[in-house]
Amino acid sequence: MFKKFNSEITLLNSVVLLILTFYFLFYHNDSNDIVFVDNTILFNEFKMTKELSKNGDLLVKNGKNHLDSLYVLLEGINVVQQRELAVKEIINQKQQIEEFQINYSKDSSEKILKRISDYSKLFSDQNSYKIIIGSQNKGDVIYGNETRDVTNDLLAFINKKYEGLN
Amino acid sequence: MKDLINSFCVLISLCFFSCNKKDNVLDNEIRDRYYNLEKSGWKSKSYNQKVDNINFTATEVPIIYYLLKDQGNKNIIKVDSLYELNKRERVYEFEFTDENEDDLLKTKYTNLDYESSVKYMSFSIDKDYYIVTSKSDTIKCSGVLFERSFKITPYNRILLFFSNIDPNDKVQLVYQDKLFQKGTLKFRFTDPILKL
Repeated sequence: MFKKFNSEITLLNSVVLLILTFYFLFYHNDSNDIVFVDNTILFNEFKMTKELSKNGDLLVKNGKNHLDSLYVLLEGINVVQQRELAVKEIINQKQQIEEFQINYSKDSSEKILKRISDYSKLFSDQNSYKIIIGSQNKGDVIYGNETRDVTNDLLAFINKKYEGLN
Repeated sequence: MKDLINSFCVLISLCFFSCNKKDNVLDNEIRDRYYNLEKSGWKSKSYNQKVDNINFTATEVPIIYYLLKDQGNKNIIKVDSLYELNKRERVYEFEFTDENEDDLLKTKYTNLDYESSVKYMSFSIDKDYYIVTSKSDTIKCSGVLFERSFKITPYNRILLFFSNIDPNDKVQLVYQDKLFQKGTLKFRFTDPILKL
């Protein structure tokens, strides 16, 4: 009786083993599932980042030009009350520039990261990637085969998408 | 003298029939081209950009579509000559669609009250668009028409008008989104509408 039971178990084991083999061979092929990218390169080389940065610099430069003109005006004022008003305006202008820099930087970064995330989803769908690991200067990836580094591919893809090329 | 008059009459009739035939050939040729355009659905390929929950879709509509709608197709040579006069104009359809088909003019999307959003769509949004030509020239949007659907359609559609663009030029439409604050969105039209 035990002999028969043992043979049934062996048969069952063989079937399970066969199923597992097929599963790993045909379905569980994860060779390209996980890839990684360098976040810093992706963020800095994205065209949207460059455009927004250029735009922000221009706005800050305009603000600073206005500030310079206020300094020139201040030098020509001799009346104490008017001088105080001019100083107040200079302080306000300085604060406005600083606030603008902080807000613009925060707002732009959020928009850029959101856009990268949206485009990365399309990229992973097209290439059947399940996970894209973002690391800064490869700090979060202890080891990664270079074939799994898709930074340049993803960068080309997101720049192409941003330029409106489908 | 009589013979001379007869020959002259024959010559005139020949000229008349010849011109008429030429007109017919031209008419058929134009109809053939417009038929091809009609078969392609009157529009160029749509270009889509999705940011967050919003799909932004841009489609070029040929000028001839509007001319035929206005003039009818009886006098096709007149329509064609009108096209020749206006061929440097461009019209783009631009659609905003929420992925869950919600009304995008609600305050939660625009940070404006509904009426202000409608006003912005109707009168101010044209300032957020421009075209970059293949020679890197920038052309401002010359007008906008907001097609109000009173919440019946799942999208909001506007028509954008641009002038003085080479009809064969492959351009890039740029939208600097200030209404939903999603940043800059670009649409490169690489697929030309059938040449007319």
